[in-house]
Amino acid sequence: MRNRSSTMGRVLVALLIVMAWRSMPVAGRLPVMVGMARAEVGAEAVAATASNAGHCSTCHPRERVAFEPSVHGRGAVTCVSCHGGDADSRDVEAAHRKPFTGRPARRDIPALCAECHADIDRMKSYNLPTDQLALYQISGHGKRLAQGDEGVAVCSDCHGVHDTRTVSDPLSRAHRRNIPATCGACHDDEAVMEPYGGTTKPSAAYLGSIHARQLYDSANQKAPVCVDCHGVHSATPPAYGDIFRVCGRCHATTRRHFVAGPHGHEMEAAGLPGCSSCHDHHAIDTTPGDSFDDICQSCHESGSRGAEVGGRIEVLMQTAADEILQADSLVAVAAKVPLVVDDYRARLEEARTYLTEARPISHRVDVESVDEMTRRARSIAGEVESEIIGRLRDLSLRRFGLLAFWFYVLLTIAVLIDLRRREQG
Amino acid sequence: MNGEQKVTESNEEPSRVIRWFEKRLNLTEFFSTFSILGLFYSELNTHLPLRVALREALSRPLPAYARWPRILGPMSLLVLFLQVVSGILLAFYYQPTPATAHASIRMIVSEVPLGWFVHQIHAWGSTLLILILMLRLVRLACDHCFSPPRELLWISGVLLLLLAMYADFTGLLLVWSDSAYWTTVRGMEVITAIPVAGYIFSFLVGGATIGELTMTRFYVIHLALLPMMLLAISAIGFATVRRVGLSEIASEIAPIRESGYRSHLLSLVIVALLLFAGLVTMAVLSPLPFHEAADPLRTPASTAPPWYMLAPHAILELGPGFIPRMLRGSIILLMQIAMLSIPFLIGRRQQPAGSRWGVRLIVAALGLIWLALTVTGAVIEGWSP
Repeated sequence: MRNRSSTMGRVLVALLIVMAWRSMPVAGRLPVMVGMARAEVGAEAVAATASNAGHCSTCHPRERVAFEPSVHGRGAVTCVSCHGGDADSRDVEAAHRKPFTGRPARRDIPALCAECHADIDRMKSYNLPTDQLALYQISGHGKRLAQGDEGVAVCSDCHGVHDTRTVSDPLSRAHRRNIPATCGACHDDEAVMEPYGGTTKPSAAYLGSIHARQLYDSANQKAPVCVDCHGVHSATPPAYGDIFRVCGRCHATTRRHFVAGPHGHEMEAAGLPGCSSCHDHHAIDTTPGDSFDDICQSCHESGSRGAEVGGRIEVLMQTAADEILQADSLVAVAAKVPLVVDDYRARLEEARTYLTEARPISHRVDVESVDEMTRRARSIAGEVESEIIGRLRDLSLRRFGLLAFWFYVLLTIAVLIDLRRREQG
Repeated sequence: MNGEQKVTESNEEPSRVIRWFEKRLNLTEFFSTFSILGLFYSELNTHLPLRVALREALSRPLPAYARWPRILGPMSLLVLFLQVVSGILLAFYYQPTPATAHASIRMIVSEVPLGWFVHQIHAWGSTLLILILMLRLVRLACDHCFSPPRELLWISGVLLLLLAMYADFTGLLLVWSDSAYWTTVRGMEVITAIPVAGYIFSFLVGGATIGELTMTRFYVIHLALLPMMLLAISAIGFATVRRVGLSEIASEIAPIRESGYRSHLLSLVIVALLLFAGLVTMAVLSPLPFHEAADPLRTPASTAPPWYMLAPHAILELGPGFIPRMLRGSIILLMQIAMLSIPFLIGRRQQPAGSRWGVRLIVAALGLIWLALTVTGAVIEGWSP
């Protein structure tokens, strides 16, 4: 007879294992299953789940770590695509066999990237432009590179080497928000820029500008960064005569008035930097309304016609702004009473709009055209003021009415008291 | 003036209009409805024609208790009457939906001729009503007017005060300004903290948040329910005065005056005129401010419960934190029940005249405590003197 207890014991153990298996959470079962799966799948299947790095990463693990999350690493690009060699070989010499190119020289990098990125057929499925190399070659960087200066920026300096990401990826050095830092890494560095005549630290200047405040603080994606004015791959500082065209791409109204005024083409002909004469190249900020005199007198002698025109424009705009402020404070007083002030507020908005319109018009440096706007602003503000003062004066009539009312009340009460005394006898 | 002569003489014939009505209705019966609301302290004889009945009532001697300390009762009724009239005028223009309420009030205040005036009278009148009713309770307590058989007088006084506070509360939300909306929210927090009564009143909010449903309910309560309840409770108060007289102590020590009701009515007219003049002064010199429209999604920086709820609010917020809110609410509920049942708790014993000062001291102490709690509640909410 078999040992009953041992059979029972085996059955019990089997039962326990099944119960333990079923009671484990599904995730807990996974390592066991994967291990079983791995045993089944062949070597090729394993290789298919690994990265494009092949066996290069055996000796170059850091590069693989950088490459894997990049836009190239997730695509069809492999180490061999740029560096040549044999990725499947585990032997160093065999892996580094021709046509292995190793670390490409800086002057070769643009051409290397362009092998794919200038190929329309290859790029059309990614919908990427293919003119980067052509633009780069006419840029300041490209021209100097062609002359043998390897200290200028090449593709990898801005886009990264192995960790290349798409420009829309916020981690990319070429993302809009990161561009001032990327350009500034060289252009703000005294040591790097010394052979090219030093640096005015444009990126640091830019970061204090209203464009930077709009981009970083107000999240206004339309605010310009370095590449919007200087070009992306064709990066060059605009010629002085072209500056108003560059700024005018966004500030179109201002450009129209500037060109129509005495400054426009005359400055271009004289080789003066149009907008930057008054607004600085990179540290561009809103111009305070009371700075006309100082700005105009930086070129025009005090007492000259130019300075006089600037002074008159300043007076016009300042008086309009002051009147609007005055009307505003009266509206606040009226709102507390309460009077209905919605109409006044809307009209003061209109006045403020006229004043805002006067700012681009002032680039025409013509007193009459500025006066057209500021005159309207002032008249609206003046109307609002006088209307509110009139209504507040009507309110003070109420107090006078109260006095008259009390006079009659006391009179009536006196009569009633007299009547009552007579009733009481 | 010989009262009897006036009754039997009927030299002047009543006009044809009155005779036409007298044949078809008992006009005296109708007029006695007015008298229920305190125009006369005694009843009209409905068997007599109107003019004769009026002459008879007017020529009765004035009871001793119709003296100036008792003025707060008729004053509260006068203010109530003013509130009803100004409220009806406002209701002609007011639109009770959250979307249009504030704009309709703005139109009343800025465009309707003298709309600002009616609005301010109504706003200040509600505060005045609550103050008068509070002072009246103090006066009733000081004169020991809760001992039997005057329990109903005291109870009606307390109920009138509660109803007036409730009317102020519901009326405030109807303005639908941000200050009004959030004051109502804070006030509901105080109300819902009180166990039984709070639960009953909170159903009137009509949901978890204050919104369109709440406004409709408050509108109905403020315009239809509360005026009727206020008038009904006032009528009970006047009816019990007619039956039992106002105060034993007063009638004991005050000499009977022989002057007639005419002089009393003249006094009432003077008081009404002074009240109205006071409200007009407040309306012109210190109009209540006009706030922005309510935004339930934005809480302004400083909101507080309405001023008359600051004392219970202080009780709910002060002191050691380990006392749960429900317990504090129960304390408030017990205090309210105690107020209502003072006649049954301590009114049994007849107080001799000399010990009035004991009651007055207690009343003064309680009043000071209430004042201190109110100020504390205000300070909690950030008010500084």
